[in-house]
Amino acid sequence: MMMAFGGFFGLIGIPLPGVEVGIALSAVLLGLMVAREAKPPLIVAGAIVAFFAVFHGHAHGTELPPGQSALVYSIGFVIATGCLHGIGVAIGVVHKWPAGRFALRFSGAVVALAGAGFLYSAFP
Amino acid sequence: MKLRASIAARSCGAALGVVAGAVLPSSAEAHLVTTGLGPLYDGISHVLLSADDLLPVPAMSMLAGLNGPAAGRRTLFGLTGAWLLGGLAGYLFGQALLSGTITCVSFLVLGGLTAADQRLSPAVVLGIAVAVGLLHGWLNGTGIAAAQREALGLAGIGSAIFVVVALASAFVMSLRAGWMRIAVRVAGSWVATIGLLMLGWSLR
Repeated sequence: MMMAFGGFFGLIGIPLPGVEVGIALSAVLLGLMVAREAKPPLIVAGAIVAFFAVFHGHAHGTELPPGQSALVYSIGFVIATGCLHGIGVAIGVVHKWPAGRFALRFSGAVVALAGAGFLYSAFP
Repeated sequence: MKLRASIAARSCGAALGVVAGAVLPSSAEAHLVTTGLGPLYDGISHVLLSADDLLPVPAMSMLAGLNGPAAGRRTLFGLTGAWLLGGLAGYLFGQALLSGTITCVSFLVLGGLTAADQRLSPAVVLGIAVAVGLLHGWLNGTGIAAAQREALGLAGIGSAIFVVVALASAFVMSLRAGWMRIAVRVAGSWVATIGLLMLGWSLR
């Protein structure tokens, strides 16, 4: 829902400062949390995800070309986001095996590094 | 001898029938490509293939299912009846107005209430179902009239809605596990999200 709010603001043209930085920071922070196996309280985790979702949604809302079908775009947006969540949850299942735990932490570190790369390129 | 004559006569009759069947009709029209589906099946397929009319139906069903059997029963007949009534009124008197806005608002309201797991009385659920049915039915009726199609399509639309509501609301009511109820609420949030994005798109 928060991603949709971001998309809504992007679609109606309300600017959001630092979108690219916010997206890059989300990768850095969430990647580090996965790498460190951080377990914040549910409300904190939800707040972090909701905060960064606005930036991701805003980018989708502003970067789409005009003239497309609003309904089909909206359905595609929601289905793609839902599928990505499902894939993430499915990947997380490997956490119950020691090798899977290592793989998850390693993946988190890779995501954080990629986010750091994006963050670096976001500043000209 | 008598038996052979009988078999020969029957064979000749069958052969004549086949030849007559192959030669006499100018056009068999046996395939749906040439005949179309007919207005009733057009109505059924319209609901199943048009997301702006299909999505409110499972969304309404989920809301009714979360609110119990009484709400489900009232929605089953209320939504279908109102959709048919609105469709007939739109077909006879209507002009299509604010179709995008109606779709956005119904997605937002139905999806939002489902996502919030809002406990409503059966009468309120029925009121929402009737409002949704009248508005979407009106749009369908005006669309059918504008396309100069037969009003029988509304019967197909009503049949499809009745079946979808019966199956979806009964399914939601049958869910016992807590996480399944959360899954239904997530589906509701998706419907609301689609409505929100459509609203943003329309204001663009």
